[in-house]
Amino acid sequence: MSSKSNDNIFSLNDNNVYMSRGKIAVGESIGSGRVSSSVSTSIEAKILSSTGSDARMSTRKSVGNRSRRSVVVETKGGEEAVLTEYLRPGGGHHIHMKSAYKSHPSYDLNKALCLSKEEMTRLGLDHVEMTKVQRKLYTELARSGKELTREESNRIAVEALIAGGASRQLARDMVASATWDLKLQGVRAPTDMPWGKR
Amino acid sequence: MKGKHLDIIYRFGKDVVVQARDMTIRGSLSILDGTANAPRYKDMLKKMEELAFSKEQKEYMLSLVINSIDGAINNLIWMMEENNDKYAFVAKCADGTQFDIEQKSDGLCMGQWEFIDEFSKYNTADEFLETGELEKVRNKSE
Repeated sequence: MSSKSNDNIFSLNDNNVYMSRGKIAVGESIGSGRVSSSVSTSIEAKILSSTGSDARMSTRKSVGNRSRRSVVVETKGGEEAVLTEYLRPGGGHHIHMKSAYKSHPSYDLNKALCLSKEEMTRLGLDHVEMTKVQRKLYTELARSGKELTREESNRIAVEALIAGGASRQLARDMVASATWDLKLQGVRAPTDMPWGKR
Repeated sequence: MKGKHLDIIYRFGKDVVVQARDMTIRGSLSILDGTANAPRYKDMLKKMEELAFSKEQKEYMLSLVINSIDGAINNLIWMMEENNDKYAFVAKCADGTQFDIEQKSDGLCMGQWEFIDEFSKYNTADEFLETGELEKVRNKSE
């Protein structure tokens, strides 16, 4: 695998939430074996987040029968999760609830990162519990009269993952990575309160 | 979500809750309280009585039943959502138009809990274990 360094390629610095340094590696194989492809591009970045995330993440674009971008999130504690683009069939659990972003002109639910069913099974995560907590927290937020901000959206995403069985650190790191990925797509804030009261 | 679509989505949710969830929970309760007449259910009750479950064990068993029912509905909805190219919950409106309920909703997997809160006679498993009340206590104004 050949690679070249490119510091600060992801030098995002938005409200001091993300400080990233990375390198690009281009090669014929990925190594982990989780993403099957004949040609792939791998991007690695270290994410430092004021929310407590210190994840190492790498993105991979596989080119084969089905092109699917994936992001590998590694926590400091050694946990690892693979987030993938939401492509049907298969889909998965969107890290950020899709209906909260549906009116954003740059948001594409098929590009947003999700946990596939296979990855959820591997990690022992339960989607039913995640949706239950999403509903509870979004309802509480709507009733409080507070605005739906990116911070609130992230908080609910983290709590939902924890309810599903993820450790707090892995949940934070997955949400940080998915937030970073949304930003690269030009999506910086949610637009809609899901299931706002009739 | 708004207008006609919203009303129909909530009507769909009510039907799912009342006609699928609550009816299934009621069926399980009828086994436990001995009102079910099907021979197989009577055999099940007899076996449970032989096992002499405690009140607490029965409550946990019932919470597991409710959890499984809700989980099955949630996973069915998720399956429909994930395979939207093959299947869909289609609403047929009185004016002759049709629409895909999942596509017009804010996500039915989360919506299920909204529908249960609004329409179900029974608490969720965690509410049941937390309050000890199987049936929802609603305000008189509701």
